[in-house]
Amino acid sequence: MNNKKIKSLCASFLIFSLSLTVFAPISQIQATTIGTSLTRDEGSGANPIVKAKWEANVDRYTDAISTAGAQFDPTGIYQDNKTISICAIVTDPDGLSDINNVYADVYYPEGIAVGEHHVKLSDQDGSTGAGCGLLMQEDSLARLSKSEGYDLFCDSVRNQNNNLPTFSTGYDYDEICAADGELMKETAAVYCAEKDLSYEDPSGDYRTLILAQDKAGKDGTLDNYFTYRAMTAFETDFSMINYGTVKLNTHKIINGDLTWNAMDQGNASVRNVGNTRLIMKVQQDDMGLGKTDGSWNVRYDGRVGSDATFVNYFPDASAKALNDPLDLSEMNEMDFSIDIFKFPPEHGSDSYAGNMTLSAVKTDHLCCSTS
Amino acid sequence: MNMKKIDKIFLIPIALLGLFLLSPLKTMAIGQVTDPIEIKNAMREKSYDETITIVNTESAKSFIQLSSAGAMSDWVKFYKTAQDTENINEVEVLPKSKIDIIARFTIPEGAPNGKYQGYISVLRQAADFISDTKDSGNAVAQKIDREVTVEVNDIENIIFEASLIPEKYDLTQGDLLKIRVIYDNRGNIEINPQINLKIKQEEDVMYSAIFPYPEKTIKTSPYSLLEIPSLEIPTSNLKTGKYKAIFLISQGEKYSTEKEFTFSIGMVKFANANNISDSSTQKSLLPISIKNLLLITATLVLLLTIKLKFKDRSKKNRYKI
Repeated sequence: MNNKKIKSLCASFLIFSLSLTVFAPISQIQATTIGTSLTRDEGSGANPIVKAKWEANVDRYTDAISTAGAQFDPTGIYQDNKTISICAIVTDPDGLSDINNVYADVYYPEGIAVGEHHVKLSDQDGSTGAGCGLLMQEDSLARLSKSEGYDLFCDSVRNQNNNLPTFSTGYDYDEICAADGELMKETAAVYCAEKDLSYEDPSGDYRTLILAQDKAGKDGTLDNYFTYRAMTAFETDFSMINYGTVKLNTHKIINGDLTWNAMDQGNASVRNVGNTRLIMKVQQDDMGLGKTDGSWNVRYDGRVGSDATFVNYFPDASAKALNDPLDLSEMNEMDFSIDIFKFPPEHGSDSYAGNMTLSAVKTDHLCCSTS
Repeated sequence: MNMKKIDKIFLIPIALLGLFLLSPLKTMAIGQVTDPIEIKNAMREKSYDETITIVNTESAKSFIQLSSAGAMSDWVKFYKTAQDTENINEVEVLPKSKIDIIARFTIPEGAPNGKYQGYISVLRQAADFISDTKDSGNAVAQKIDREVTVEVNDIENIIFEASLIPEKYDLTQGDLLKIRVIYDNRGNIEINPQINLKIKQEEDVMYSAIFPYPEKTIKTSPYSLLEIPSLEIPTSNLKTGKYKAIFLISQGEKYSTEKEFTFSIGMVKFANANNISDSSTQKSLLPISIKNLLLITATLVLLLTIKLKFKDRSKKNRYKI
């Protein structure tokens, strides 16, 4: 074969190769919409095995209380999220190099609706909605080094939080941490990821599924639940209620508003910053107005939100529950009123001061619709 | 007006606006873990500890008052830790932090059987209402209530879990076998069991000892977790090999439970995790994709073509000469 022929052959091959890499994407762009379908190749070889899994604080081995499994406390602070770690020990009979990826799927608690004020975190993109057992998010887990993984599971978890992990049938600490065990031989490895729970994600039990997938598409799974403990918390933008000047037998209403003001610089607002729904309660003293003929000279009212009906109460009675619970992260106005029937003549001045206690008690979450 | 003055006119309001926007709006807030407290099968004259978690979400420290209300309100006292004997009514919580305290319920001698309900409350007191005008008003305190149910009866209920965790599973010859002992008492009476330990190699008992509950250690209270002093077992008489430690944790015929774990002596010379090679950090050779293969081939062909052309030219140049 002469040089010319070799050259032309090479040039043809070059053009063919480049056309494959350069023109293929262009042809895809130009294509019109067509139906696509595929059939999953079941692959060959053995399925990966998830030997154990657990959730913990960011240190990967502690949690809130000593009960078996993982329990976490929300922050109780507006827009301050709780970061947790999710870890798993994965092996594959075809070798660890056959593991393609390890994922953690976290699901919202079943039967609990989050309500209209709940805002998902930007990375909680597993479903279009939230709550009611929907997938919250899927995260990829990263493989730890052998020493890091062994120390974490066989030292920190085993010795300091022994009842934290969930094991697959047939596996325990002795099997996994043995001197001739799979973590030592590196035929199993520890994988971990971090995940954020919002301060307002509802209290309850969150299902977490670990999915280990190999290069042939075969997978192994293990699931359990962690508990996001109930934290009831609220904040206000007021530390006092100023009734101003009040006339006798004139029902005076002090309206709240839906704007979060600087402290005591505007009308009263309240916000739920816990992970439970809550009922606000109110209780007041008599502000020095006293009683006449055994009856109080003053009566108060309170409500949460302008749509709720006022609840009236007398001084020193037990805390009165206000209508309309606050949903997760809901901010609403608090309206108060005062009605004075008699100013006691023995009171030394025209101004009266007293104390009010706003309290919150946890109430049930919203239910999911059965449809 | 010169440029400097104009700059000042614009910069001062911008700086003030920036300071206003950056300074956080102060709020007044409080939080408490509110999973209901349920003490079942509570027995008269016994005490039951529950943990109360309080959150101060503010940027200044806060003093939180502790109280109880309802049918069981007189039975509760608060303590900083489970070991404390002096009760408290108020606790200081640092800025933006959480604190755990103990609520101890002691059932009085004469309490009849039944269910007692109430609340445990944490309260953040407000400063007095002050007005520079003749206005009337209220200072507003904040409170969170946590539901409590105590069920009193006469039935002893013994449920507990024991964790026996060796400091090391792979010992070298002569090491002490140190074992941590943790009792998780989920029953309604306090426990102080003894431990009967047997160390076996296959079927042969190589070591046997009884460890009574330590005299100076408080009994494990109902519904609480307690770690007692570690057991220390000399292993100098044990030869190289694998062993099984079998524990019988019991108190007479009242209750007993068995636990075991395996350990080795002199079997692992390099169990130190620091010596473990991290093959995961080594680069692995990944198979080349078809696309990459085509690109490499194309590059090689391109180089070959250039080389052939260059050879051609040099030949032509030679003929010219």
